[in-house]
Amino acid sequence: MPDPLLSVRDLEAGFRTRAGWVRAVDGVSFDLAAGEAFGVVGESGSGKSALSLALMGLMPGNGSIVGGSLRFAGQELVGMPERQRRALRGRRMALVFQDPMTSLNPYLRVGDQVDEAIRLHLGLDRRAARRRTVGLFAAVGIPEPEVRAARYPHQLSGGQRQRVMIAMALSCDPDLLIADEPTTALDVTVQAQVLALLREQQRARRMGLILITHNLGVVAATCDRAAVMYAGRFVEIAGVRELFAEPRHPYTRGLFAALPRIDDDRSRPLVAIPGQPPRLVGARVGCPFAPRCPHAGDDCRAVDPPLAADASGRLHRCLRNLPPWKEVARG
Amino acid sequence: MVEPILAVRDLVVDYRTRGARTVRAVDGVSFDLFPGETLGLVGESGCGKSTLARALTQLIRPDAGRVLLRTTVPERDLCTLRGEALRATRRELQLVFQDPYASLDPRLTAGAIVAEPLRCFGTARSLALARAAELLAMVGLAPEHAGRYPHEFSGGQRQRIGLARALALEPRIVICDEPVSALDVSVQAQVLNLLIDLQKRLGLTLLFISHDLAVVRRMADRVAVMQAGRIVELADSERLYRDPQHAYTRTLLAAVPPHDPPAA
Repeated sequence: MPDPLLSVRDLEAGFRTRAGWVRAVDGVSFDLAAGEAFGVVGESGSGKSALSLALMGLMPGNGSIVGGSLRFAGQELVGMPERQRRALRGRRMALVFQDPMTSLNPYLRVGDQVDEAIRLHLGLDRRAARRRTVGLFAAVGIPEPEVRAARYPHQLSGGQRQRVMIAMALSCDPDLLIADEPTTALDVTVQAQVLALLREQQRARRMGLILITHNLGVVAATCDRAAVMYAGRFVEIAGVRELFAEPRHPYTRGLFAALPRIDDDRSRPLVAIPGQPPRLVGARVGCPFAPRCPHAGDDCRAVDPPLAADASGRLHRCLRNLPPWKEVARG
Repeated sequence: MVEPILAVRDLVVDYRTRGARTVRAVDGVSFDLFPGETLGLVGESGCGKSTLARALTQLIRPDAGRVLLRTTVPERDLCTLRGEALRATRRELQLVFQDPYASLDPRLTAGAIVAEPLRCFGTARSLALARAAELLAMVGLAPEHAGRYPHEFSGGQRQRIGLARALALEPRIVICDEPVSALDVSVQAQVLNLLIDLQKRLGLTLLFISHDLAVVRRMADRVAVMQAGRIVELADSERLYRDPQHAYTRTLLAAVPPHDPPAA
């Protein structure tokens, strides 16, 4: 097997707050192959956005990476000088955020913003940069790309703005695209279009994609493999088909059981996960999901299981070997 | 034949923007709400769902049309009521808001928030607080929660407080405007199950507004689809999802992300 594009080992990152140190990313490990689409699913406070910021080297002032390793295309990113890091960012790894309104400069025409990235990273002159921008706008499905390039962000719809963000992220042919809730601010019809666009561009460019979302359906539509994040760690990693057909971790199963489906009838009870996600401050003992887990026993409250392969070769963090998952009333 | 508890007829709401342009946010909406049912209202952002919710409760006064409340004989048209008569009638029609952060007064305790509607209608403070404690228990919160402030609660717990407040005046009809959109999946199911349970116990009639078609399918007996200020389709939930008639309904349903990955 060739070297992975990105190799994350025991990554620990967090934030200093008045309440204490928040362990937002608490020992995350995974590999991303070139051309692979990897989903990270988690609820609010699971640490999924902190993970994307840590991967990009964009931790805010009160945050930092405190342990582990991030190897990208053979280079160690943890501890890399900011100047080198900046040269990679945008050029070889790019980020698409949730809200295009806050990530675009409202005072600049959208085309100029994409031109700027291209000129900075690729050293093209003004006219060549604009040609590239217009080509990118066309590629991401913006109609009348020359005209739209001269518009300001507020003159575009939310879906169009997100397409501009994607065009900007793709502008330097990155090897890795990290998309953090890229469609959460969009309506379903627009979401479907933007996801299809991301998937199409990812495949055509054989680009690595890390798609961070709270929405299991978005992962199903877009990713090859996915991790489920809870309390700052991955509790399960699997190919999406395996994950959706046979979730192994109790939290993953809890998410599926709690999620209304468009194709189910109302006789299937919606099973909520009781309680709240844990706060990621202070000492931890045992499995962080144990207080909400129907299968937890004293052993779970004492031992924090590592991410390890079970008898069937599936990776998850659970002491229990749960019986096969049968979805009730799936029909 | 069951008579509707609320009949909405040709409702129109215009927003006037600067430059004297008008935007018709609700454009001739008519529907009936039957006692004990849940009517789902789906549509994308900007289609007028929230404006409709506010127009029904007269938080925004409609520009035309009628909102007929048929809990009494004769029926009352909320659009023509003013002042005290409107205030008294509004008890029967309460609203649960989307954002559990913005919709609770940060300087009041949970108990005081839930007691406030009762206080507004003249219930003595001690009685109102006692009733608030019962209501908080009814939505699954503990007695000690009454003394806490909104920031001490999670999103799901705040939405329970908003629900307790809406139920304080024992309304017949509760309009839920995206009540679980701000909540995570695991907590969303808690609040949806609570709503279903309370509806059964209290015989509530619900207008359940959401952009999430899977959530609406779970909650609603009938579903209205709204686009650009109009209801373009209204049908039994089962039928609407199985056999959508309007092109826009089909587009919406087709855009829902799959629940399973595509086969290899």
